[in-house]
Amino acid sequence: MNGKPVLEVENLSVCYATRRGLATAVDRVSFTIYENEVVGLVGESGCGKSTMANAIMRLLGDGAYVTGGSIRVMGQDVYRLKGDALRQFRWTQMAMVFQGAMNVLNPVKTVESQIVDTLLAHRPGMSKQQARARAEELFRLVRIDPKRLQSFPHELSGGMRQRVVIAIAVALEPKFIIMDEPTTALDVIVQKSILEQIMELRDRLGFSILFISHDFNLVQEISNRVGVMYAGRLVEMSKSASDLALTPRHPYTQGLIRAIPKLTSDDEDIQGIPGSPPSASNRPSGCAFHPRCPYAKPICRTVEPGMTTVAGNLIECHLSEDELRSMTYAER
Amino acid sequence: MPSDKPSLKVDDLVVRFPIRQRGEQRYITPVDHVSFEIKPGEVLSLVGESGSGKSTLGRALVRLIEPSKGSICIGNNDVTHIRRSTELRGLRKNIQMVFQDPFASLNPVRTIGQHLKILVRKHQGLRGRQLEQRVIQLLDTVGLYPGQEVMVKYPHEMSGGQRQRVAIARALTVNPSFLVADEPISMLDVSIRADILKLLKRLKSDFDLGYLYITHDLASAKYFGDKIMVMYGGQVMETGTSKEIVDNAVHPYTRLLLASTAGSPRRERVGETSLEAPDLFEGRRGCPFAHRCPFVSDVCRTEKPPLVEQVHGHAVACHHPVLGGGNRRHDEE
Repeated sequence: MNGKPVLEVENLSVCYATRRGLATAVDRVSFTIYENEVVGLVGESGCGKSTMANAIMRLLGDGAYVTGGSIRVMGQDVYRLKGDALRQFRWTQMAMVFQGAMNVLNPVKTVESQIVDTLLAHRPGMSKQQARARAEELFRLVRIDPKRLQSFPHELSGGMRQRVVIAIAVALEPKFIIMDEPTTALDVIVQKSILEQIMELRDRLGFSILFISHDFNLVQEISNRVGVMYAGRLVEMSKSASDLALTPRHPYTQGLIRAIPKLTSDDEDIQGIPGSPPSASNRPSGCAFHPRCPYAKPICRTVEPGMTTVAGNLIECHLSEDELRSMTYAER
Repeated sequence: MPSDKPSLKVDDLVVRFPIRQRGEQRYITPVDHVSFEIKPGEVLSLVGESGSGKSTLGRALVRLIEPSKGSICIGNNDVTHIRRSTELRGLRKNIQMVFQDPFASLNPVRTIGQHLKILVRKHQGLRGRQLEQRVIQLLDTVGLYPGQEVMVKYPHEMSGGQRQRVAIARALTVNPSFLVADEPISMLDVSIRADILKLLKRLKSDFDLGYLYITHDLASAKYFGDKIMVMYGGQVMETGTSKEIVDNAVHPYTRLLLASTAGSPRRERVGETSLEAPDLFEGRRGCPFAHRCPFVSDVCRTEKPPLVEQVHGHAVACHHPVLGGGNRRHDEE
């Protein structure tokens, strides 16, 4: 299904300046998202997934720097955009749905004025009346009663607020939307309902999604392809879309799956990954996963593995294809 | 396995809180006539979403909150309304709590050793070498070793998983019969969660511990729990053995939960659901789930459905349980 590339990340590195020197949050990551694709990105806290999202949107805070590589959205290098051009580009070509809808909306303005402001800032020719009409249309799109447009954020439930945030993200019909844990803070049923809605919107409006989450099952379900991040590196990613978004091969990904209890099996044995994820300022040598990897070999301690293709996955691991296959945990 | 340890029995428990709304004093009931029993060495998983009253119930059990009605008994000992500190201390030797946030539950300026020594000295009167030995033994029980090195660490030097282990060790100092574990893994990294769950499971068999395991995640509820109790709006919707609840749920709410859980065999379209929180005000009528239920009828809005046993140990509070639907039960009746 590879059509036109929407997002091209090449060799991206992002560092934080800390008192103890540079901490590498994202370490030479490359991947591409094509038209109409949903790409899931999984990883534990601190693996660099949110930092990467912010880098793509050019929203890195103080002390964080892109130290290498490039990011192109719709063919445009986002780090070559300046001032107004960046602002225009940001919501019309790429948008972002942030984690925690509570903190995204302005508490002292009605949700209507927040949508209208967004529209007017990006569509100079639009009249206020047209913007209001569009806001109503957007509310219907995310299935909130347009009467609620006059509400303040605190008057809406968490699920509704997240819908408002999604409405603002699609307001200018961007071709690419980053969703950073868009449903994490919500109850499971509301979570599912919003996911269904996101997918419907995508079918209707045709945008690509980079969906960031720590929930492997969820990402597996909604994505065409899945990437897995560990300690700033993209350690595994499905190369092309197939029935299963990602058939895990990398020892880390397999470990993650083994760590999650499943509803389906009766007598299962879950298994955590020993140790804990390394911090950005203190990455292990060689393969960053080697201290926790049950299959680590001497070479893993010293030499960084390169990207290879194993059974349809791009993977960063020293183990051979046969070794990876033989340890593969029951495929579901 | 027969045991000489007492059971924890909760009967018709009600917790109500006063709230002031537009100058008017009203009451909400986050726990509304809830009954259950936990035997020694048994795990009851309490599943519900935010606002279901599951944490309030957990806090009432360890008597951080005093219930308004009903009773909590450990064996023959009624602890519902005890007030004196000696009595409360006695209760907490029997029942302890592990909280959700291991970053907030430890004092940042005390070492791990200090955290545990205070408790062991107070509750078991140990001193000096014996005290230290006991602390090391506790740390060893929760998988933190070498104890000598762990003892001198401060909480910030430990990962979330390790801190949660310290919190569990603290709860174990008094040799309790029951633990209330309120979302003990939800703040931890995915790769760490499994080992904490496994630790809790091992302690269950090693010490014949009974648990109230509070969670919003059905998969871990099933993994750890012998039984599952599903709460919504302060009331019990459905309860039964873990397998029964996951395989043969008949309450529309439980089924909606199953349909919403990623990786569930019953994963299906949820569609629109009301996004409003349940009404908890005292004097509400009908089923708390009525406003979101796809099978709602008039009777649901006026009459509270009683909790009725369907098959052995599987009870449901619903006027229109979803029988059939791939289930055997309908044919039997």
